[in-house]
Amino acid sequence: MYREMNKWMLDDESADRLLSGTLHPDDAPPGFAQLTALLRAAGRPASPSPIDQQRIAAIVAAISAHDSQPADKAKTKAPRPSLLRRARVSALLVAGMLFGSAGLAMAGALPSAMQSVAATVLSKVGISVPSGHRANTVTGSQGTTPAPGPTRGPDPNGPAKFGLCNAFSQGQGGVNGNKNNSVAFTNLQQAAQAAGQSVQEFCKSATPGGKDSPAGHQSHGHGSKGKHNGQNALPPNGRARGHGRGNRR
Amino acid sequence: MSVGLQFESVLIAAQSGAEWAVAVLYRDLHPAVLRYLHAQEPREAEDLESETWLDVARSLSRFRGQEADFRKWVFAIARRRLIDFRRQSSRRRTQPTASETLAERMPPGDAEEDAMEGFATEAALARIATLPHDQAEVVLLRVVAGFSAQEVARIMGKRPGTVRVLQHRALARLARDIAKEPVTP
Repeated sequence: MYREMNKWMLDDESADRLLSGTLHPDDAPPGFAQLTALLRAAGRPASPSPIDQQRIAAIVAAISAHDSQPADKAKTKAPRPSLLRRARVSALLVAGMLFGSAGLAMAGALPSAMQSVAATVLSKVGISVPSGHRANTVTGSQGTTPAPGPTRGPDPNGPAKFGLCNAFSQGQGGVNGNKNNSVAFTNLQQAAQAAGQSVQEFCKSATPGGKDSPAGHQSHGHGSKGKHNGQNALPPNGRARGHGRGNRR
Repeated sequence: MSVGLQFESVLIAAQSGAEWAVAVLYRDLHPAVLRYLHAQEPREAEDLESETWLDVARSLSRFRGQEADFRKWVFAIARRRLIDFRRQSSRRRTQPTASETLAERMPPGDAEEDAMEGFATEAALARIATLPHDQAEVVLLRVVAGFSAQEVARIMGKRPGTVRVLQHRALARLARDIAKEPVTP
């Protein structure tokens, strides 16, 4: 049985030669001579049929009809514009997110971790934005600029004086609570010291709205409206908030 | 038969609707396509071939490639038409071709001399058509269209190894069947 089956099996090369018509029946393996002749007959080139002009005309008409159908063309090319449109929309979204994030970063309005990353990234391309370490930046009226040093705070001689004093007098923590170590209160103490007064004496002259501040003195803070709780005496990012529970940096 | 070096310019002309170029492509491939279809569906071959060429015409403007690619493409379309037809036929539950019909297509008197000197092409194709569909298809694409096993695999969407297995089975079956036939003195 196995021998019978094996008898009709050819190797790949012989099978290829047989099927490609390059094997002559005389050279065929035993038992395959007739098959070789059969396959050669099947592969014999067909005599060229007379040109079927009608069919060729129909083919040409189909080509022309297909080319002149804009709807069909649009149908076949539909994926392209759709892909392009999708790519454009994606690009716009990405650009919007980038510019939006950059805008927020420049305004210092991102959460501090993101702000820090944004500052690092944007600094590589020459754009300066707040770093996210709040004590390191000062918000000015023209936007944000890097602060020169880590201990700069509200000016106790400026409009922030009332707020600072108010916060100092109401805040708790004192020396043991490290309240006095905050940048704002350190500045206040230094200003009082420079005036040869204690903080309480120095603060007596403070009035809401900073009316006692010297004319033309510019504050870095936004506390000129003189809110009584003193919180707005500080830059809007809230560093050294007036309750003075210590250095909040 | 092939168009040869001028294929590219002929193709461009045909894509623009030049009748002479369409005639060149048609004349080159029509006999083999028709024979391929006729061997498998003798009654429908003409219609299937017409549909094949109309499909070719509709998609010709998008075709890019060399002559060998064009041949593969046309045969792939012909094969799709054939498969569609068979699928529709099976839904309509038509009767398969009776064996008597096949016998009618065989030329009278299959003497050994005839076999050795050359089967009539029709008889040879009819014999191949008795194989299972996939085996017959492999043999026809290889013998009639002249494709390699790799090209047949690509047209049929099968692995080359599968095509080789199919062709081995087909050859073994044909050889065995021929050997079983009584030799006419």
